[in-house]
This record gives sequence, C-alpha cells and structure tokens, in this order.
Amino acid sequence: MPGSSKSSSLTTRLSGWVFYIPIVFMCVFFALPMALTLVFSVFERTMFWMEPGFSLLAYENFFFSARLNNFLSSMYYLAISVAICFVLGFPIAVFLRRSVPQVAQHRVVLLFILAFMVSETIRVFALRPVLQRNGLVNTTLQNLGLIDEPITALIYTHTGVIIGEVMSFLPFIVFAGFLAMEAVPKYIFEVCDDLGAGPVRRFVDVILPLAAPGIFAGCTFIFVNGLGVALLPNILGGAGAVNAGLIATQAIAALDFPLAMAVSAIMMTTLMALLYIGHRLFDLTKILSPIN
Amino acid sequence: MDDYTNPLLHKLKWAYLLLVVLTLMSPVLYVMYISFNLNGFGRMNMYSPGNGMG
Repeated sequence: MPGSSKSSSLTTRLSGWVFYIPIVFMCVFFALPMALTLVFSVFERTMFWMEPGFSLLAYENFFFSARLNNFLSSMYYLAISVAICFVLGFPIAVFLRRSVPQVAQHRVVLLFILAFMVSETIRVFALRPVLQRNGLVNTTLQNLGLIDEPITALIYTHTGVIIGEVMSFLPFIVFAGFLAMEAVPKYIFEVCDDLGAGPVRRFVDVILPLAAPGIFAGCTFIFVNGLGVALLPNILGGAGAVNAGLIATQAIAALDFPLAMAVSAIMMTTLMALLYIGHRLFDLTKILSPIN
Repeated sequence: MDDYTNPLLHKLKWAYLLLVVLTLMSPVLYVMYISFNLNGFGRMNMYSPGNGMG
C-alpha cells in the first residue's frame, strides 16, 4: 500500500533522527553550560550581578589569593581519600568476583547500596555526632582507655573531610572495581596459582593492568565528586579545609559571580586534563569492552 | 570458594566486607540510637537517679 510505505519511510527517517537526541541533550545541558561558565568567568562584576565585558580579575582573584592554595591542598587531600578508598574498597571487589558465587555477587554488591538509602546530607551530618569532641569515636576510645583527652582533629579539619569523603565515596570504588574486575576472568587466579605467583605479584602484574581502566574510572568519579561537592567540607571542614565546590559557593554567597564561574572553569579544566591523561594512559573505551 | 582456599581466610574476608558495610551505616545508626535515647525508648534512663541529670 502506498500509504504504509510512506509511513514506514517516515518512521525510518524519524528513527534516524532519534540518534541525534542524546547529542542535542548533551549540547544543551552539558556543553552549553560549560561554555557559558567560561564566558561568564570573564564578565565584569557589578554590585549584585555581572555585565558583559572582558576582565581577568576573577582569575587574578583566584590565582593570587589563598584560594589557589586551598584548591591545591584540597586536591592533595582528595588524592589521599581516593587512595584510602582504593585500598579499603578494591579488595572487596576482587573478593566478590573471585570467591563469591556468581548468582550471589550482585546481591552482595547491593549491601553497599544500603548506605545510600539515606540522603547524602543526613549521612554526612550524622558524622558530626560520631566524630565530635564527645562523639562516639572519642568516648569509645576513652572508655577503652586508649586516649586520655578527646581527639579534636577528627572534625572541622582536613582529617574530617577525608573521613567524610571515604564514608561517602567508598561504595563507588566497590561498584567500579566490581565492574573493572569483569576484565579479569576467574581462571586467571588459577593460572597465577599454578604458576606460583604470590598475592602481591598477582595484584601488581596481572589484576592491576587488566582492571586499570575501570579502577581509573572509579577513582576519577570519586575525585570529581570530592572536588565539586561543597557539602562535605561545609559540614565537616573548617579553616582551610575546603574544596573547589565550596570556594565557588562562597564566591556566590559574596555575590562575586565571575569568581564563582572562574573557579568552576578551573575545576572543569583540571578534571578534563585528568580525564585526557587517563584516557591516554589507560584507554577508557576499554571499560565498555571487557576481555573474554 | 574453591577447594584450595583457606576457610578461615574466606570467613575473615566476609567479616571485613560486612564490617565495611556496617561502618558505612554506623553514623546513621548512631544518630537513630541518639534520637531514640533522648526522646524514645531510653528516655527514662536519662532521669534516673545518679546520672547527674536530676
């Protein structure tokens, strides 16, 4: 029938266009806001808003003040949290893939979602009664006789932010590691055992190279979140214990919008550089195509 | 778990996994414990003699 062929050709043409929807979505909701962030960062500041122009004052404000030091130190402490998350979380992913029966693996991974049943804000805020001067940790340690004075460095310092980041992002390294370990078939462990490779050699020479893209993706995810989520240093941090997200939030509170945009632009550039380096080193497209 | 795995080590790894899950949950559980004790089940203990709260 001529009508049906007409409608089928229309469907074919439309279905071809459907593939452009994600591109349009990414352009409108990802590329455009990022470009606007760059553009707004060079605008001139007015009393309550900003006006079009070209001024690098916001960047000067960032690079020649304590903000740069805070930004760099937050990245340093974030790297420590990522390392702690990796050391604590990745062995769990290896254990899950290696020793837990395949039917049960996903159910065990679900255990780590339990913590996410509560809102992030409440979870982070709930760390205060645990870590504070008369909190759970200090009273327990005092009751055990391990310390005489409460440890005050646990909260409102970089340590507090690191603890918060580990508590918030540890499950992500388990999830990412679990996916990354898909690239390491179970027989590889048996081969390693047969060839007499010890646990350290097996981890460094076999598991790590195979699972590297997934591990890098997980670590980057934590890094990106840790750098951007203002909530953690806002609740658990103190003087100097901030991150890029909080610096931008504070700039917005001070009605310095170009500075906030500049901080965001610098953060985006840092993360994109990180992703580019990671991609060159590990070829991140491998995450989607595990070896078999 | 295969035949060559040390069963004790296997149990230890499970214990570690569950410990991590419990640790992740602990702040929220502790806050719930506090809330119950201040306004809920343990409330009476607060006003018992000898605890310094009258």
